[in-house]
Amino acid sequence: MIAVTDLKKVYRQATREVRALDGVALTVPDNSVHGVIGQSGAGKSTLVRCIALLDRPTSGVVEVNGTDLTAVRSADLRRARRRLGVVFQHANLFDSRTVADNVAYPLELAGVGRAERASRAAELLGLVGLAENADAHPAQLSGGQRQRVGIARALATDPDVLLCDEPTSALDPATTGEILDLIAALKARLGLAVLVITHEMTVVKRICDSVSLLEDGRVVESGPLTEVVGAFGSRLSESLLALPPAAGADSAEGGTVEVLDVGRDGELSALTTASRHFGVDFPVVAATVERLAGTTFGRWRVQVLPPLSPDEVVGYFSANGVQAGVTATTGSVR
Amino acid sequence: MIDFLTQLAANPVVTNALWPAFLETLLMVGVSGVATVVLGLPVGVVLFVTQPGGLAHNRPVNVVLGSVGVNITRSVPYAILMLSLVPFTRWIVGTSIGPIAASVSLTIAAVPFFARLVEAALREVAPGKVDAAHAMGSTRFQTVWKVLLPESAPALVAGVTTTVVTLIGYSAMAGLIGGGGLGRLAYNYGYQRFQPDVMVLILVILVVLVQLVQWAGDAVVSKVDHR
Repeated sequence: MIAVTDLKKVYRQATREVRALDGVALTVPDNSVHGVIGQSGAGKSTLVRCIALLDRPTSGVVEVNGTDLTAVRSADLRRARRRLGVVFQHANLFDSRTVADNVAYPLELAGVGRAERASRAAELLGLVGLAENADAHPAQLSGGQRQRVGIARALATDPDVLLCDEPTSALDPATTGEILDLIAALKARLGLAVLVITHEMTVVKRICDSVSLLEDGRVVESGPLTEVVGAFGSRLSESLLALPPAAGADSAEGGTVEVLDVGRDGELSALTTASRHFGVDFPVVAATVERLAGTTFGRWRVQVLPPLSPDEVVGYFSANGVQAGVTATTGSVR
Repeated sequence: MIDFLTQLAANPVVTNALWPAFLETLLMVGVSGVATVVLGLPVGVVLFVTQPGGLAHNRPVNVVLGSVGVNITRSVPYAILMLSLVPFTRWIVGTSIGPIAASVSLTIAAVPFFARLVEAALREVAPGKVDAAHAMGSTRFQTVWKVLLPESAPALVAGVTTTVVTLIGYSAMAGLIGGGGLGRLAYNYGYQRFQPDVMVLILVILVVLVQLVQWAGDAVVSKVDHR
């Protein structure tokens, strides 16, 4: 498992202090994937570099299976790094080496013998589905294949933690799906604690068990995926259940109400139930449905026509344990 | 044309002096070339790793080696450098005459040149590869030896080729003050004794030599380039 506590990184630029990380805390238990999502400039890159100790954090603790990486140096740090595999956005393979020799590089550092390195590299390449390409050079592979090699290399020393820095940001959507499925499968098979840093909601939806939203160097929202998505009005909920941008409908007569419907048994019934209760139709202005971590989430924005008031409808939903809110009351309420 | 070639073939300069002079040139370029690579590679690596933000950033070492060592040597024209190094050469080799003696000033002129090429080659290696090397627990030495140098091999080999070609040019100048070789032959016979046919022949030999070096260098580059 990996635990990050109160991580801070301050850069000095001439006379100015830049707080790139301002007290970040994260915990990723074994056999789970935690996503850190944020926009450019939120501090994602700094976070990766500080956790991987490529940059030294100003203060804070980065614990990998009980060892504080910030407290050890030189030989001890190099040994501790073997417990932490890093997957980079552009794979960062060594072009001068064959695929197998790339995967064997960390074993070479660890002093593993030639024969054992070769058999372990072959085993790892089999794990990521590239057994055939062992003797190829990275330049001969596609982007997705290169990333698979990067993942195999990160797993070479049998780490407990996998740190993935934008692992799919340079890949097309289909390849993104394949790489994410591979990461999820490896997590389950090896019991890894996986920390994925990304700006892509797809990554969070597809593989994350829990997620944190990073903004200005701070974690502003965090929790298990179903919890953050199920929190009506939260930033992560609104991003993960994004509505079409043109779905304003502020000019709608009456007003609009937004409903977050959680279908634990896979059925979304809040809207029909309400419709039957009030005996009116609720025209749907915008909607999205996602199945995340085994739960179905629906986000509806519906029009409430006079004489029914939006507040009345929200009140009904709340009384029945469904989260809802008024998004617009413009238009002609008679 | 046939007359010209028959005459040239019978010329004692060609029959007696050309081959030894050619070997002297090869010896000068060979000895100074090997010495330049052996000395220049570490200097280039040190220049790269000690730069600000480098693997082992060290401002004093970088400034002393870069500004004082490399830049000053490179700003002295070779013709003046080789003359001013005569006492030093005599101290090292015991004489200032002959191809081995000439190799001393050739090496001193070429090391800073090659070191800059090495530094530039290392700078071309994507920083992400160095990050990856670090993240996997490489020591600084391992990062240089197992990652930076192999990854920059194509550019390093191209740098060696450029340096050897430059050395062939300098070796002609070194020949004038006692180094011997094709440069002296061209000067003594082609220039001072008005034998333009000798001059032309030596030019042709030098052009072919440079072409061969460049071709061999390019062949090695494509062999080590897996990008």
